[in-house]
Amino acid sequence: MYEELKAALKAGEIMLRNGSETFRVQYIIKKMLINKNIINKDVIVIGTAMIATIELKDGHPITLSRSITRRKNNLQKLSLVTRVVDDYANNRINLNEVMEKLEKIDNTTTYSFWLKVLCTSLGTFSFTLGYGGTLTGAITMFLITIIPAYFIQLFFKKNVPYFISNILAGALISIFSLIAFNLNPLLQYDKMIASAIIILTPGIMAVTAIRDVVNGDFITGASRGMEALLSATGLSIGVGFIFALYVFFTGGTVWTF
Amino acid sequence: MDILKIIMIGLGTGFVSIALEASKEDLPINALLGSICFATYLYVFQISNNNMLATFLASFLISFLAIYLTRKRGKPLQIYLIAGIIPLLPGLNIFKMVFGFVNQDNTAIFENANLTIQILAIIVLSIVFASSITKLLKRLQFNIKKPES
Repeated sequence: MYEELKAALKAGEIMLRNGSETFRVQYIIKKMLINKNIINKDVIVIGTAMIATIELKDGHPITLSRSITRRKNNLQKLSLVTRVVDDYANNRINLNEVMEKLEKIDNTTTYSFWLKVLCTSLGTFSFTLGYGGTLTGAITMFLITIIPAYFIQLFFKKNVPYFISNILAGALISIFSLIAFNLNPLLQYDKMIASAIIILTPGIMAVTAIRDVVNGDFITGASRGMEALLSATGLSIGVGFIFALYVFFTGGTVWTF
Repeated sequence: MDILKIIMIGLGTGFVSIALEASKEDLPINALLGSICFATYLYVFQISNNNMLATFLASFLISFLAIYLTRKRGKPLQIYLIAGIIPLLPGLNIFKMVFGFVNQDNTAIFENANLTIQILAIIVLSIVFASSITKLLKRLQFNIKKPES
């Protein structure tokens, strides 16, 4: 039973660490606890921790907890863990295989570092054209976001707090935007900035936060909402600081939204 | 021209899905969902000139498609839903709001905070509506007895 609980929490941990909503983590953990000796199961999941208690037929309870320190979005891991849990709940695999598979999923790298950097920049290129920007603007945006995207991925790899990494990303985008602005003042900056920001701002985090609140988990919803706000604040401080410096040294305004 | 925009948004959604580490087999679906979402938004916005209605209907349609794909492919809803709604997310408004804090521009803060909350609430409402309607339909389907032949 202990092993099953451990595996269930491992599955929940991977889900929570990779951007799942708390109600889904709760569901996954409960779904894995299929042993017939369990007469009662209770799972509490908040944004950064999980506590699961099972009550056995002989009256003994077992409680395990896990804390999560760092979260990101990895959709593939969510999908793989769900499949493993489904297989176990339907008796297609045993507990040892579950643990092996979960360890493997946890250590999987879906895409290479450089591919993620390139795709972030290509994303801004496509969104610039999609939101009505010009081809010159899209190419400029692609070039502008390569270095910030590289640093964002690098900071994440090196466990730099996301608030600091967002300040630096915002500052880098502003520096390169100002250089491009000085080289070609005719570029459509509103559309370009919109496409760069959509990738960096925590829109997904904000939607997940509201979904948690709608599902009745106010603590996680509020903490995720704060996380989203802090993330956006970091980005704006980075952009605002560079703009303020630029205006201080050159005078006038750069642009207004 | 709109077709090009829709294709580019689809491609952008596909690229962002790679940054979000979606699995390779889901990338074309995610790109298609992004395109459908933006096409719906553009179409509804062009005929109604109402941003909120366009956002609601686009994310409502995407929620239904995501629920269908989730059932069909046995994956969590989040995988298709997140990718599908990327083009609708008010990232720029969140940024403008906090940029207003930095610039001490109260009008920008309130205007964008209001818009951000409205858009996010509408996206979430549409997701809740779509999942409630699906659950209701499923329940009704089980309750309707087949006529005896």
